[in-house]
Amino acid sequence: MNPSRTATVARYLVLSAMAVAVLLPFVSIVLAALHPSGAQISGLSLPTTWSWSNFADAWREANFSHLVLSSVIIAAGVVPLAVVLATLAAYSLATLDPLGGRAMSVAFVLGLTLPIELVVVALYFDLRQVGLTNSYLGVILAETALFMPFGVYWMQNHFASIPRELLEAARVDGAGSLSILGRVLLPISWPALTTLGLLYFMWSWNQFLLVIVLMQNPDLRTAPAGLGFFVGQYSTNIPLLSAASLIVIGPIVVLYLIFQRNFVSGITQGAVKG
Amino acid sequence: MRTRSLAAVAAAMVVALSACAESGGTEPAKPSDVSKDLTTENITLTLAYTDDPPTQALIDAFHALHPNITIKGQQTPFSDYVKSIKLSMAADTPPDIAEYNPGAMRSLVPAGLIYDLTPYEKLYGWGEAFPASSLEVLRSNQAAKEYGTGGLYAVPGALSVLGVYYNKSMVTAAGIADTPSTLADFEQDVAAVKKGGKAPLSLGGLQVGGFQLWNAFTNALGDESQYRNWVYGKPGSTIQTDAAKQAAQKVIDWVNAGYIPASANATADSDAQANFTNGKSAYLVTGNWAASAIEKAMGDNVGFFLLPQATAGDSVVASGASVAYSISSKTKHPNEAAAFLDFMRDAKAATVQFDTGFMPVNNETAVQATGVRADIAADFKKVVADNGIVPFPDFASPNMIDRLTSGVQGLLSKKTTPDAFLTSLQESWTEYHG
Amino acid sequence: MADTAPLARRRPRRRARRVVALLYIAPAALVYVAFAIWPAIHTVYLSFLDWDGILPATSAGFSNYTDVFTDPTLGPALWHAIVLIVFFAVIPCALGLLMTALLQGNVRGMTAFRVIFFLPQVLPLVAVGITWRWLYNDDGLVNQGLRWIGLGGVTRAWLGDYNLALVALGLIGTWAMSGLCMVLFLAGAQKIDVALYEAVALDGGGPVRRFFAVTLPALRGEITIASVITTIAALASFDLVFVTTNGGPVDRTTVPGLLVYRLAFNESDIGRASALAVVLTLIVIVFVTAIRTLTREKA
Repeated sequence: MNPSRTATVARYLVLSAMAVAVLLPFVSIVLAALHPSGAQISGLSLPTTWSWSNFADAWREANFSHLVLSSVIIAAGVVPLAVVLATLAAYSLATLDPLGGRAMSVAFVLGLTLPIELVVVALYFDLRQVGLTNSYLGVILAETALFMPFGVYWMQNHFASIPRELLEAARVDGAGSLSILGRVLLPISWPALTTLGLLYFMWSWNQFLLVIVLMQNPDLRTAPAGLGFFVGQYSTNIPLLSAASLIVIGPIVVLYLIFQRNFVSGITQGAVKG
Repeated sequence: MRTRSLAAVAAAMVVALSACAESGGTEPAKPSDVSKDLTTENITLTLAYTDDPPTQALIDAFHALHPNITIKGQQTPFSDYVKSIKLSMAADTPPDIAEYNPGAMRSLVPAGLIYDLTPYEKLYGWGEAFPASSLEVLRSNQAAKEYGTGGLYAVPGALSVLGVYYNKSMVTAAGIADTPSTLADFEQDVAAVKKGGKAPLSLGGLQVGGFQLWNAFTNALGDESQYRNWVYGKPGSTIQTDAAKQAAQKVIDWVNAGYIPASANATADSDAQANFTNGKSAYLVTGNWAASAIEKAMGDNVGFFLLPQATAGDSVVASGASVAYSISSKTKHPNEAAAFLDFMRDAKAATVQFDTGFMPVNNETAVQATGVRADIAADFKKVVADNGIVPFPDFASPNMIDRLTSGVQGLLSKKTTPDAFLTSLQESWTEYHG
Repeated sequence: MADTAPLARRRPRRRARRVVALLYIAPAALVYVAFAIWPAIHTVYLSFLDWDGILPATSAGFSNYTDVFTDPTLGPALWHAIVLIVFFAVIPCALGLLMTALLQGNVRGMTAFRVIFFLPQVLPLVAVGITWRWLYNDDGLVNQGLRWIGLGGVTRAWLGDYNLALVALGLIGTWAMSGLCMVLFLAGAQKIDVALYEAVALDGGGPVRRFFAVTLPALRGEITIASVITTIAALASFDLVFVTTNGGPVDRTTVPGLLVYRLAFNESDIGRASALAVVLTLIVIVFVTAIRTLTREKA
């Protein structure tokens, strides 16, 4: 065995060990979810009988029909709204040189480091005053606002990377700013927009604190929020709880596996450069 | 330069804000147009609750009598209910009826968000119909600083009591013949179980189970009127008593003796109950709200007794509460909501209350009981006769429940001294009651 | 068209265009200001009040802020958040760098590994918390593994242990964040010019020197990004703590986020909750600025 072979084998061993460390928790709950409901399990153990009924039970017990519907409604509102608003703003900031544009870019970027805790207290009382608590619209607008800094930053970087000549050429042809955006920029921006939409979907799906504060009505809560409260009731029933967790992470994992490239690039390049 | 102008804008906003000060309702709310006549139209009321049983069964029984009034229940687990109920009652469209928790819902009284039910009390004659002690804890002064006096803010739907469940076959195996008559007897029994190599006690230290144990000890060792005054917020009360201190020390002693499992602090209440029903421990301290679930799991292998007093023959004391219901002052149907509250003393309701493991509000109703529920019923009769029902400690102030939970976790991990624990409880009490 | 317009008229036209450009920004700015900036400022204002969320408020001066630093539960929470930075940020970044040093050069099948490593990043933390609750349980995988390697004596309910609950909680963060750092650093290392390594090798430098002289400086940007993301995650943690320990045992795992929620929505102490949220935000800003400055200085 030559040294470079050894190095390669060692490399794969290290990588595989890490991969196992990441995957073991998943294996653990998938196996747990397949045990009969209420079974006492210890660690990693193969179920003697594979019971798929936990998923149906968890769905019913945790009221997932309502919860998932809420999650879908909120994500379906946030994703298009936030993507469109962020794109319009970023387009202007990156190419149209608006009055006070620099200051606005900074104001948006500052929002990237704003912890949700700072906003949520007053937001609850503000929204209560205008009747937007316990309402999908309230959560959609709040999430759109909180995700805005990232979207503006992301699309601004994207538009700034497009060669100027392209825009100039269109301007000389007499195209207005709206048609430049629609005919010239959008067709070449789909990858950036897809990534943004996916990240928005993920954040909206995973959002917890905002939802448990703004949604006091248990029927309107989203899947993760419902799951957070489901633990209190079923903490002993590991199979049922594991099944419920898998239901909540399912959609996001499927999306991730299909679009893993977008997720990775979005999260890793989207952070503010030092 | 830029940041300075941003700061200026922010400052201007703050100034603008101060102009519109935060405010809300400040008057206690009393219903007007009270009447026993109910609508004949189809209406729907929502009811937020945490304890089921008995709530859903009571809703169904009421609906059977009044088919045109539908009550839609929304259940939340207890530890989340106390966190969220105040927010939901302050919302624009709160539930019409809400299960009352004196600790969590304190500020709803001065804010006028739940009705002072005195007009209905007079109309229906509730004062005579309900046991006086069960109404006492539901009365509050306008500032919600003192309980036991003032307006009535809820009506009890089922009564509960805290005690000890035991696994019959396990205690028999440990050579224990009958239920203990003094606290020292009980400690001997617990030691016997431990000696036999079994776990004596399951305890949910992660949530409220831990402080219920301390609370039961406190009531077994000390003077109940002093404790009751403290919970009610009577000026000058304190929890820094010898009894409370001995009780805290006993929790530590039990940990040292191995009676309480080392993992108690990571155990939720539902885990502790499951451990007990699965035969992992001989005893469980909890209330009769768990009776029907425990009976379902264990059949007639389970019994119940109240934690005995330090001295045999002393009158029995136990923490108890009621599953009580309040009416939102924003409801569109106060009379129908009040009719639901009045239904609680109905003979039909009594059957439901008892069948779900609770004690009926209406003592006149004779109930036939077997098994563990016969134990509970007999004990409950005794404690009511002795006027020995005392309120739970978490009613004492808004953040008492957090202080109790983390304080007892400190006792369980032997990191907090009894003195420090009681000092932190009293601090919270003083901060609220002044 | 514009070219033929006289110069005098072009100025205002350009100004008009710059004003029209604002229309594109208006909707985003409106939502952002109304639902993020305004509540943030409003929270700052609330932090100077005594208010229970229902009754009329009274002015509190700076007393809520002094409470944040003197109250026996609030101060430790800030400290816990800073301890969590070690587990959420420092250890994952160190692990990521170690992996990068070990895996110098191209690895085939990297895509599959990247997909696996990055997976924890996309999961709702609530589900992650529930999963780990079970792993740390008395009969969970962690204790099973310890028994298997003969360490049965140290098994315990980790999340209920007075001294180790915070560490156990932190390690969940380590698990969730390490993949992000690895993916970032490995991708960055792929872009390093091989000639630089060869130069070090000609100088007689070994793998250690190669790492410090070439890899580390080249990854400066990635290190900044990774530390910023993970540090914010540590300081503003809420979901994970809420479902695993809820701050227990004995408040040993409280974090600012959890107390903000508790103070504001359980105890109705809006002023104190707001003050804590403001202090937390300032700490986040301090840390992020510090990271940026440090990584920049290394140049």
